[in-house]
Amino acid sequence: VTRNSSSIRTWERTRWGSLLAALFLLAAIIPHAFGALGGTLDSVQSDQHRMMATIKSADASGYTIHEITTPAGIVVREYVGTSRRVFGVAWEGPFMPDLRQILGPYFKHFAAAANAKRGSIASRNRLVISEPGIVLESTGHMRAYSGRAYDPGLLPEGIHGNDVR
Amino acid sequence: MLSAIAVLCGCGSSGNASKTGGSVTLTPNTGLSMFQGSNLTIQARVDNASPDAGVIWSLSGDGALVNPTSTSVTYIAPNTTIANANVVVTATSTTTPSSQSYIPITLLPLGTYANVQPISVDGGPVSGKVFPNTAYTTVTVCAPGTTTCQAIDGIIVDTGSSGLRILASALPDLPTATADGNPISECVQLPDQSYLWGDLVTADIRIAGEVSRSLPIHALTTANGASVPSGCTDNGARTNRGTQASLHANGILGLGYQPQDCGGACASNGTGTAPEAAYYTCSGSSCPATFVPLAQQIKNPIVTFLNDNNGVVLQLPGLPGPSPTLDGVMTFGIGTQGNNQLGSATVFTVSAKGTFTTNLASTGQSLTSSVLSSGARALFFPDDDLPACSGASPYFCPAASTPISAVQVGANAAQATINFNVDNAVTLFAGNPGAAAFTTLAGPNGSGACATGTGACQFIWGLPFFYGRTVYTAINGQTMPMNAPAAPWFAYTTSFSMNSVHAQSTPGNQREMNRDTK
Repeated sequence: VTRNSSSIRTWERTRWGSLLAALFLLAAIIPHAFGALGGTLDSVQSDQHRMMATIKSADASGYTIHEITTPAGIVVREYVGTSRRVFGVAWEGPFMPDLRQILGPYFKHFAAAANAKRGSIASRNRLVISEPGIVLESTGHMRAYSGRAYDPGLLPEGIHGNDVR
Repeated sequence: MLSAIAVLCGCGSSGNASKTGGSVTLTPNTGLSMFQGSNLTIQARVDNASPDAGVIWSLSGDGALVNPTSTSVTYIAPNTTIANANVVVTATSTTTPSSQSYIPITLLPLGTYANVQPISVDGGPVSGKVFPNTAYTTVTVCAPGTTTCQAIDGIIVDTGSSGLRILASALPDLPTATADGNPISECVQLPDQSYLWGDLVTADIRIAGEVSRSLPIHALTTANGASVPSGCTDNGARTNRGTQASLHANGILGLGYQPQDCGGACASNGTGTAPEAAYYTCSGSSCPATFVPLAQQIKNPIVTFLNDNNGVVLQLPGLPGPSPTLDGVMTFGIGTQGNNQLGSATVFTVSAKGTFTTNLASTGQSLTSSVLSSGARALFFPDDDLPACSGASPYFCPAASTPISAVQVGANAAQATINFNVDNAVTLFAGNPGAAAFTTLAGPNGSGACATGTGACQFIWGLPFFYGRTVYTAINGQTMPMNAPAAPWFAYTTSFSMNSVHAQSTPGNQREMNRDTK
């Protein structure tokens, strides 16, 4: 099923209130059911709710960027394609975001890959994971962390992983 | 022991204990060093005491106190060979013995520089292991206000962070640092899914002739027995870096651009909810996140020095190929002494995050989040044409030595072209067993065309960049030499005469270093 972005925005406007109410209820009942990456658009609101954050959205060609800012000053950008799934997340801020939250079902895979990387003599200040199913780059230090993650298999047609930033 | 610690706590958090009997303030009011045979007059003032009070002077260590009055004393450093360099002069209120202040003093032999400290790329302190491209040094840690000191080696020299962090197992007994009377603990998350955790403790730190009084430092990995908060470990998903085997060191000496490690985001954020993965107050098994004022946060030790407090200069010689050890120096201060002048060095200003731009000619990328860090072991940058080594290795493994050209661009538009070669890391390590210094070690940092250079798309100029250069790192908010821009910035020259600890080195003993990162 494909929709063009203008019809989605119309749908969002008309159904926003009931959608939000349902989401908050769901988030309260099963708070760990949603993760952002790979989740549906719903999971973006779930993230916003759990991070006690503010959100703003912007349209790009073929996808929507939802930017969440937490009280601690962490900015998380979640990339939602026209299939309404989150195909990528990026972050920057004085602290690292809760990766378990924003990677959702990908977190376990990521954590295992990170453990394997750390077994080597890698630098403390960076991490690069590039595997089927997840690409993640993380860098920084206190005051200035940044990174991004995406599932190459979820990238919308014509969208490159480097658009997640 | 408990009572001794309590007394130390009383003077530990600020160096000026504030009891009801008045607070003692000294002039000079910081740690310092003195040459043998020299003397120093110290003034004392007791504020808010009733009735008016003076001070009683006491000395721990070599030398003598002469002409003591209720408001001043003269300390005379010994004129003979200095057996123990660590001295403390203490002033105690005549009416309130718990009200004290002190000056830690380091005695220097004639003909030495107070601001020059040896550093060495020597493979590190872990027996049987050689960790590449890491500069280590030694710091002396003293219980506050005492001459009970311990030299700790194997400390990483890191211009990419701020603050001193040392394994608790290597530290002497030190008082816990507090904010509003509560003990402080800290979590530092590292991007590789590890963390550093432990109490803040207070110590007098001595590096070369530089002295830091009552410095909060991070003791890894203890926290009054409390378990590590889940917000620090991502609910157990992160691993602890605070061991010698994992850190590859006994500690990290962060000498970066910032005066504190966290800064304003840890002092307040307008919501009343303190950030996770930063400062905590642990009581029993409970460790809530907490705000900590700037003055009580982990500090860059340099900003507490008496004179050389605006930055640091690293010098490591260039080398023709892999080497078992590489000895250099770090010199504290920029433009504060004859041996740390900026001279013809090119200054690159950086963003508040410490970033600048690197343009890679080979890929056409503009990497706007690039950083310079002596704590990184290689040059890390995105380049899909350079194959990564197989397995978990973080390095490149090209079939042949590959030349790369990069242009560094500061926020002030200063530019310099850096040419270097990337060698096959597996071949390098296999062909040079035991070597610790490699100029041609590099690795991937992100992949693909980084259109905007945000996120992880950055060039990390690690320690190999420092080989054969004099590299200055200037600290945000500190006073800079005339004609230098406001910090933060870095600067470097590509040839140098390496500073010596000894002031009388002749030009013939100084090695001319040529620019060579090959």
